[in-house]
Amino acid sequence: MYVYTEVDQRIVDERVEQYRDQTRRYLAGELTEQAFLPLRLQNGLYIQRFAPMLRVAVPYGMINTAQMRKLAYIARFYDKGYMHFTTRQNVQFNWPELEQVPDILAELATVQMHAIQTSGACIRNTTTDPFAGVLPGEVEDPRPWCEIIRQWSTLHPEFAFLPRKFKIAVTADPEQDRAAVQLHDIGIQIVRNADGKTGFKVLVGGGLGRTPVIGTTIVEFLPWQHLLTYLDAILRVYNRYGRRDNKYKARIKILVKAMGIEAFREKVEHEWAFTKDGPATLTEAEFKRVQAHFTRPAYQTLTEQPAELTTALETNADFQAWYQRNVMRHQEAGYAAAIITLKNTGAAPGDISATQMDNLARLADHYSFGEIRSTHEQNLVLADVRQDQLFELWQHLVENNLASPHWGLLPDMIVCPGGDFCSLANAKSLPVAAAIQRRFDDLDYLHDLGDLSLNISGCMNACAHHHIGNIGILGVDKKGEEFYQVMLGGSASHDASLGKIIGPSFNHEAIPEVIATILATYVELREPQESFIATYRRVGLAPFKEKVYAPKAA
Amino acid sequence: MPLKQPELLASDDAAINNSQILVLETDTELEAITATDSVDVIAIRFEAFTDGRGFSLARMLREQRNFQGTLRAMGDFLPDQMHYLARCGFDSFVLPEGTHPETATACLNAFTEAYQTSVERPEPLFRRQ
Ligand code: SF4
Repeated sequence: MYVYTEVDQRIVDERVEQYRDQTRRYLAGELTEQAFLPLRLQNGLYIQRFAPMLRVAVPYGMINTAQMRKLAYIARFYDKGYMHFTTRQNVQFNWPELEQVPDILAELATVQMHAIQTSGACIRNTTTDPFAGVLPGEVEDPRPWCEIIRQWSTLHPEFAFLPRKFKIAVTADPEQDRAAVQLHDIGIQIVRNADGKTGFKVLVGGGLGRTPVIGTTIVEFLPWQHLLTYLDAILRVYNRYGRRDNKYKARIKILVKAMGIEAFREKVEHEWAFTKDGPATLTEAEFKRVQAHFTRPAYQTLTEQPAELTTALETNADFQAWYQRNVMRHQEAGYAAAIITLKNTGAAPGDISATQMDNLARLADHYSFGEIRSTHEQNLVLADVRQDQLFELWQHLVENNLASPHWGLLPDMIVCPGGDFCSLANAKSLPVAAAIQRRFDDLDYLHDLGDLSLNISGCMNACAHHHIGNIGILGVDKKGEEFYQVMLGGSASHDASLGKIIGPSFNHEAIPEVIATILATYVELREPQESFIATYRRVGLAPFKEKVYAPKAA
Repeated sequence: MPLKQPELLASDDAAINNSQILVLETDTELEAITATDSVDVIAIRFEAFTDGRGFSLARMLREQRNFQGTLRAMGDFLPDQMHYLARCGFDSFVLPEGTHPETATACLNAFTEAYQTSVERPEPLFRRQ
């Protein structure tokens, strides 16, 4: 994991002091509400329905156990004893006091964390595959590139007042895109050309929100040295020409659509010509320096499928169920990656208590080289667990209520805070999620349904990415009442697609039954081994629609 | 390496009108600016402090046009933006009304280092370390 240099630390420390003074000036009446707004947003502080929220950056989802313990401490001391993982691999505190935020940021700086640019019209946290560096199949570890992008984007003098927020994601797996790069303002796929040289396929103008768009390729192969100058050029064209008159039309996807990709590319290439091969060109030495922080941990020589594991799987059905869903193959023999789903009925998806955080830190120290990763599905990963210790680990997870065997299944939903917390919401999302989880609690049925994503957003801003859920639910306002639109067929994977609305919306009580009908229709129509999304793509929307809106038999 | 101390002007300062000045809006196209050689001062006027276009325009004037004269920020910007503005090439500021020069100077020097290339430090941190 990346470790700060003296300069990295100094920049973060100076940022804390800068914000401390800005807070002081705001409270003293020297800074207006309006002037303070972008300053606090770019330090992670925004105001939701009931209280300020502080969003803390977890660069590309990597957390060490010292950081996890610090977050637990902050949750206890400055908040109500829990914390929330977001869909950008970040974490969020729901009840900090505005006056105390500078102190919280100072606490974070002691463990090399910050809240810089986690909100506001600037370049946000870069995200990547939560299994980076451990799963078979990746071209190379994407995290050094993410760290290089993090440094470039941090306090970038030119791009702090963009038309809108700007999100970048990186993946290195050509088969399985677990970072949804096609749905970001910039998506970066690490590739190798015919000569074996590293470079990037760069996509631009993807995104969700009110107008979901899948990104377009702007360059097929960008040699790695040019990464930062090319990013500068894209951002400059966006900063100059992105719309500023209407915040719903201000994302780069609208600009790319309006100009057309050819004209957009031409402008970018024009800007790039001034800086290409200039001083911001990356050097081998810099890449090596950053890469050296992401070395493989001290793995032992172990065998696949050790006896301890086989015996436990044979004798414990609960462990077996968890193992089947929540454990992933690893590059290294005898190791595995274990997924902890933060989706427990009753609690908001992504929530974790301070006690769970402390205990998880202890488990990560003991079983996974002291590191934890967050995923954009609001889950956590222990990426380097010995297979012969999986059963032990699982028992500890059970004690901490962190062992639900649901990864990638229906209850593993992505849900935004919705009307319970968010002032922009049209409808509540958490109670709908809870009602669905309660209705479908038969593990055998859930396993039989298999891979299935369900995303619920409380309004068109689409924070829970409902367009890319296999099943998407969107809260809408119908004459002051909360209704829900249902869509089918979305996917965030390498074959990304956007869901289609099934028909007129439903009230809150109807949703579990609607989902039940959709699932029953799938089970009826599927071919052996066919996933929900594959069946949907084969049969289309019509059969689902017919069943869902069929008149009920008396 | 601290930033060079820029010129700090009050909005009623006579010096504002002392020299040949070209005033640009933030959305001015670089191609539309012809007079960069014949003026001493180019001022970019910010209509709103959230308008980031002036940041890019300043860099383009410095880096693509090699403008060597005074580059002045005026209009609606925040003292808290002056550090970034200076790094984008501004070396003169017409301070928004009510700004203490000490606040402006403190804001200007908020950071002692930066990762990126910028007008006053054309090499990125990784080439200077
Ligand atoms: S989708 Fe809407 S309701 Fe949900 S968190 Fe985002 S803005 Fe709030």
